Amino acid sequence: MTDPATDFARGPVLRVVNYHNTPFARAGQYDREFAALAGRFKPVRESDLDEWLDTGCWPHDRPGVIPAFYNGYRNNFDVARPLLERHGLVGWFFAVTAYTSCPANDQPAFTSTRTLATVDGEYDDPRTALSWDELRALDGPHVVASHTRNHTRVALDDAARLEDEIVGAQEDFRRELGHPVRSFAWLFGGRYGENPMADAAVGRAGYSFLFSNFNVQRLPKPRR
Amino acid sequence: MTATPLLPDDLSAEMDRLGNRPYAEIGVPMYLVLEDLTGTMPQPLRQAGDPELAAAFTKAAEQVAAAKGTLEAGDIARIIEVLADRSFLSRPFSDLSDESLATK
Repeated sequence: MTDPATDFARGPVLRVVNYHNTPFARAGQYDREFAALAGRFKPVRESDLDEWLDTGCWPHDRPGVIPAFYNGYRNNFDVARPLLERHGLVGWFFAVTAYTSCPANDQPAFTSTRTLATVDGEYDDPRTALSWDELRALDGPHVVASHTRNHTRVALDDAARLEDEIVGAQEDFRRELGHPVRSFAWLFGGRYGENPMADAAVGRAGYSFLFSNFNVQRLPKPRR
Repeated sequence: MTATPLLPDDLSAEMDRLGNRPYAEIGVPMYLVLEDLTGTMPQPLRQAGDPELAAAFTKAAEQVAAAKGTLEAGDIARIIEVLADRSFLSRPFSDLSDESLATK
């Protein structure tokens, strides 16, 4: 881990607000939060990060903020998305592809065996994950990103599981969105450079940005 | 940048307060440092760093390390969360979710 004080002094420093579930019962809270953020900050896309790093200049007159939504919950689409759009913000939706692909009736069992908290009683049916149709609708107006295929802890020396979680998730995005996604967040916030096997899989998957606990890293071009 | 001092009077209490909130349903502000590994960055980024934030982090980390005898990754994350909570807006970001909790 690098020294945060040194990193903050050097920059660039990004502002991120991390969300998971966005239940209907808290819609008023999210509305206030997004309004306050939009009044002070600009939305951020991956192209803004590229331009910032390529030119050395943040491309907007106000600093940016990333509202990041982890795990790919259905209530992100129904509650957070319309509020983000009302306030002109761009959400980054880090989806778990096997959760999205899981049949609705099997999703309670899927979440119960993983660190995926859900909100009881929000819907009449058992689906709690974003659907692929919802992710396709988010893709473009917002940023769709990868948060592994299964959201399970994987031994860092298990090459097959690492490949499945990192490259397999990207294969799911290619198949369902028609293109790869550029950003990836590893479970529990690991950085690029900490595990050569995981780094190689991230390279094979072709991700451009890796979100970790303290950094967003623009990654080296994959070697083919 | 903000009307709220970056560091609270009682850092430990504030870290505990933030850590006891329902993280699965609230927005948690954080600072992340952008890092380029492509080797193509042409020049040092202009006006990119935040010396005030860096100084506040150093002071907070020293306080926590002095109290606990060590500084773990979880402490670092919580310190950054405190700093972000108090500097993103003109008042603590957590006030916005606390208002919802108060009306339940």
